[in-house]
Amino acid sequence: MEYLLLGVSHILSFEGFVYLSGGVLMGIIFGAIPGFTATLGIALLLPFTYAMGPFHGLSTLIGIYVGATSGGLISATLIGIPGTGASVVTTIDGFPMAKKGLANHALSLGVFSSLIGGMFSAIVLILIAPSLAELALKFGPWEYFALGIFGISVIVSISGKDLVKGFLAALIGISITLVGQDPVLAIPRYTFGNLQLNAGFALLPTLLGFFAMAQVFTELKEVSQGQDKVPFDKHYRIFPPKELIKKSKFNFLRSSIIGTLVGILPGAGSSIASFIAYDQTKKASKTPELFGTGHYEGIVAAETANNAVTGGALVPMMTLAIPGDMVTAMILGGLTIHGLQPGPLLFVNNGDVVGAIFVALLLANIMMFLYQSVLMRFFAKIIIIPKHILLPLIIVFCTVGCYTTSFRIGDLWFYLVFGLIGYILAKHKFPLGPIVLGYILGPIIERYWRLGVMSQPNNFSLFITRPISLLLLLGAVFSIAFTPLKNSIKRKLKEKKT
Amino acid sequence: MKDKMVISDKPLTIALFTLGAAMYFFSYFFRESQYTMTGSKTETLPRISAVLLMIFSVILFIQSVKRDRENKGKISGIIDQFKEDKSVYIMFCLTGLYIFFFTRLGFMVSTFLYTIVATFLLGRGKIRWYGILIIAVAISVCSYLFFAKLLNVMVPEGILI
Repeated sequence: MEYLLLGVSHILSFEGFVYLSGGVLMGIIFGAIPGFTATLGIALLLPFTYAMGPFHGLSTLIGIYVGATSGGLISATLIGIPGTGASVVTTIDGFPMAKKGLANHALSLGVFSSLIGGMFSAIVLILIAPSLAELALKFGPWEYFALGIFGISVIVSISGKDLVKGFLAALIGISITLVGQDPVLAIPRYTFGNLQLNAGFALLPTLLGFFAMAQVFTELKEVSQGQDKVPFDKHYRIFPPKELIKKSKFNFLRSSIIGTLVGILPGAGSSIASFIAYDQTKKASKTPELFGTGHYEGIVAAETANNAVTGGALVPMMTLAIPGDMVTAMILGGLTIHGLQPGPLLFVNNGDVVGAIFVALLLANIMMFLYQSVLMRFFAKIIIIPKHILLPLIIVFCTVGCYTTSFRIGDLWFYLVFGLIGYILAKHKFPLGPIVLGYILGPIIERYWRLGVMSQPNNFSLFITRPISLLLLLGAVFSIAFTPLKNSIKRKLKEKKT
Repeated sequence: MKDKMVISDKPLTIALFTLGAAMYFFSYFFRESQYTMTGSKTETLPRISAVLLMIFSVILFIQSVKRDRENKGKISGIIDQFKEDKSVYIMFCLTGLYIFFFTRLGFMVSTFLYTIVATFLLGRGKIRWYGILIIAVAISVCSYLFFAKLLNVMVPEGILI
């Protein structure tokens, strides 16, 4: 609590407010544009933070982080294209809801859920950061491997009715990651001597290809068939209906906990958090059959979890100097730019900076909510822009976004080809979510499996004898067996009744 | 009323099976490393993925054969599908040209040309020629100012800017 008081004086000034709110606004814009990420926003702004001083510089970076994580829901909901990797899961229910003419309702739910998730993780960060960091330290390669397997089990939930297609989609995602250097020994695989392929397929071209480009191609067909008019609810409510909030209280809590815990684990990331939260919510739901059709529970789970990652990811960064993802790695850079040493000593030597980060995170979440509540009524109008203007504009934005992350023209070709593959797969009713899941989890599973085996040669038992690893693996088995088991029990109960 | 046509998954499953087989075959050409041990080799995951890809492709192929039999006479042929997707392939080629000229002509010129053609193709009958021109100028100039000047993002400069 004493850290908070120290931070308040630095952030709650006119200057501090301007920097933080500017960061949040910039983050929302970066998050909303497909191809522009929090990482890019922070990378662009990092050099300028040097002149801002440590308190304002760091609060600006945190503002971008929070804004971009939530801003991704805008394009995910309105045009079915996730603005960031974190909002991939939001498209599953957000976009169908918008297509039903409830775009503003979906956005309102998403923004409110982002606020809950973000605030929850910020409070957790403030209250129990050091003890949570200890939990992250207990994760060795065996636990990370088990976490990857647990994550993969989510396929069952997001595959819809066709599980075989879901598994095939995940395998396509894993296969994409196999191109390039292997994650442990950097041995080239499937590169065929091509230098462009040596670095593999980056996340952004893959994500933009399978989601943005494939979606544009799908919409194109609708334009050519004259089915491009979308109904639109004009009224944006700042707070979702009370009864929905009441119904979602356990969903908020569960998804916030999942998001925060996944955020604490370095390398796991917000996409995994929202996939797992979505899966768990679907399992706990009384109406799992509505998921994927524009169901409010899906949006709440995805958006609460991905924003809960923000506070969680700052835990290992601040307490152990271990960045959880690319964004926190950049914020870590922001700390060192100002001569600060992240780690346990940060709390001892620079309590005021720690406090400023805490206050900035809390305020950034509130500002994110306020900004989006005001701006969303304008953003939502994207949906009524004629498709013959909107679609070329999306392609221009995605192309620039894809180009600016690596300045490799090869990435642009990859994203175009992935777009066509994604379109063909979507036409054949393949779910595209598992592709991203496979892409993200494939390298995690491989890297930690191999590191686990290499650290204890010929001893595979550690994967099932270490408690956390065993728990996660059992969780994965349960997760896969849950739906068929539930259905069979239901069937038996019905048979008994009749 | 004409029955809704169904797309057969068979060609796709054959393509996925071939991909799996190729992945398995080419995994024998990976460079050997002295640090690898049983269960931890470079080729372990590629081979497992390739085998699973082939197995699931076969399962989907069998399911597809059954489904095609049920929908006999309603299966859309490859040529019909190509005709249906003509606009998608045109846009694919157009975007390919945009990417090709992106660094050669620069962001502004390539975006202007791309937007003119794309808006013309998509908005035929809905928008007049001067409308297309205004949209193309607005998109290329505004997006340039937004990316390069406001967000300070580097975009290819090419022949103009």
